[in-house]
Amino acid sequence: MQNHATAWPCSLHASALRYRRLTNLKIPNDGQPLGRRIGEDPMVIFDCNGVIVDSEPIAHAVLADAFAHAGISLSAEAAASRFTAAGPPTCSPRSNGSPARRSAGFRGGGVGGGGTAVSSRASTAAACRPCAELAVRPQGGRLVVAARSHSRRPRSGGPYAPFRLAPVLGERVAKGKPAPDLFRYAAVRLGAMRAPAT
Amino acid sequence: MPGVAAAVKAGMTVIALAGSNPTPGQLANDLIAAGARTVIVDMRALKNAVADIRGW
Repeated sequence: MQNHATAWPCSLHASALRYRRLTNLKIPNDGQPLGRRIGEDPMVIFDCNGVIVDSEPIAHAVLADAFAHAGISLSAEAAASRFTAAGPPTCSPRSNGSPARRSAGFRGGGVGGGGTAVSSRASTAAACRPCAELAVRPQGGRLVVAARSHSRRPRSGGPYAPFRLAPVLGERVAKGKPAPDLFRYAAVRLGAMRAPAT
Repeated sequence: MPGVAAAVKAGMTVIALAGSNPTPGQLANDLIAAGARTVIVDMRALKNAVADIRGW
């Protein structure tokens, strides 16, 4: 069992930080404003999975934790390569042909000592996968919308691709929800709010 | 709920989505209580929700 399972259950924030330590993940965006002028237009920020926060590595880390808690050694990288864009059924031993089929699984009480919690956690983790590819057409130029999944999996590009907004929690955003830091970060990045004085 | 609270604390107006929840009525009440200005159950209602809030 991997050492990082000892902290189970852990927060998503902690999982993200641990994943960063394990993988030395590079943050793709530079943190600079994306060019809009402050107060120019109203703005809609979508808080869908994978838009503001890069939830994909978080989901992978949580999924790896869930496997480790079940006695299965699986790195976050392996979870990423096997289960990215996969839903809970794919990660379940009930799914024929799934990589987890030969292992003790999450569902059906197959995990001793907290199987329900693991099942719930694994489902949550899988549900965190980036799925937001959502945008609203500008309404007469008065509404600017930025919504784009941060997933590294190839998806449709379009005009939203440059909005690589998602930071990794704990790096540029000190506190997760319900603290306002994340939304303030997004607003600053999109030019709708001035950066706080440092 | 944490997302609503975070956005409100950041000074933003929140439009919450309760679309896929099995008890959208209860969820809507909770979201309003958390600070959401309005709740929609279908993304197609988003445009009108924004327009209502902006007064367009």
